[in-house]
Amino acid sequence: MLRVRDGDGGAFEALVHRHQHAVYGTACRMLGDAAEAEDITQLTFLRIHRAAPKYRPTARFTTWMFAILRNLVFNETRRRKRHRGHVSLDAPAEFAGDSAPRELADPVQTGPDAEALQAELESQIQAALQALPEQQRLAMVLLRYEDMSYEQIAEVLGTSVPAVKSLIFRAREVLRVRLKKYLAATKGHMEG
Amino acid sequence: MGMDDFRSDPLWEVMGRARRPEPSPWLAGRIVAAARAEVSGPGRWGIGALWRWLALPAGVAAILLAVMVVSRPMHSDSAADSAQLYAALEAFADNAFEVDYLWSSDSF
Repeated sequence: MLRVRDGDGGAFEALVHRHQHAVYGTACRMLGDAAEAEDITQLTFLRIHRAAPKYRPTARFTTWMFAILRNLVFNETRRRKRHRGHVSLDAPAEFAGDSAPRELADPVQTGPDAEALQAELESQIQAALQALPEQQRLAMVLLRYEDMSYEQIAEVLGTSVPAVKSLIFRAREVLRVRLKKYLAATKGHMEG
Repeated sequence: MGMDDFRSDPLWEVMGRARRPEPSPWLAGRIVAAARAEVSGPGRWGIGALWRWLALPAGVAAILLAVMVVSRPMHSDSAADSAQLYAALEAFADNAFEVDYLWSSDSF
């Protein structure tokens, strides 16, 4: 990032290649839409590029990058709420009315269509994440998929470590309910 | 409740079975191109900005002209009225010339 700050165009390209998967993956899991996730990823890197001349390495670069992404994603979810009105993507599952989980495919079933089962599992995980309020969702995505510590997540969210632990605790409760069929199968596997 | 506690939770394992979403192979190229375009682009004096600047004076001039033409007494064809109309048309032409000039100048 320091090379980007000093105007090295090649360094910016390398930085994009290095971090695009993390930024895009997080945006995709937060928004549940590939096209919007690509737009948000592009905006994140453009903001980094614009802010590069003033960049001071006071925090980890990835923490700063994810904080930029957080702002853009939260703005996007608020824009969606305004435009879609009654369809709240951030309402907890228990208040979502008719959005009860569909009957899940048996995850331990062994059949020829393993790819379909995998897609079904991923779809259920995504739906469960979408049922979380945005702060819980981002905390959970950063913890599970970006391997960030509670301290780093607290920096990204602009909150304290105990608050992050609380977010994660509540998110786990919701996800356990939404993914209980898969959890039961996993426990069965572990015991078997 | 610690992170290690979560890592031993079956939920951790189930969530880990989801593959990471992959961006399109052209995304990085598009981002780099957009960043380069921002650096070498026209900035705040782009065509869009120019149009926003010109829209208001051009609109006001058009409305003034329309009001003057409509409110002009039908029976009157005095030299004063003609001069007034001529002045309004001249102002409009000046405005259009200015637009032309800005379009052809190197400022954007």
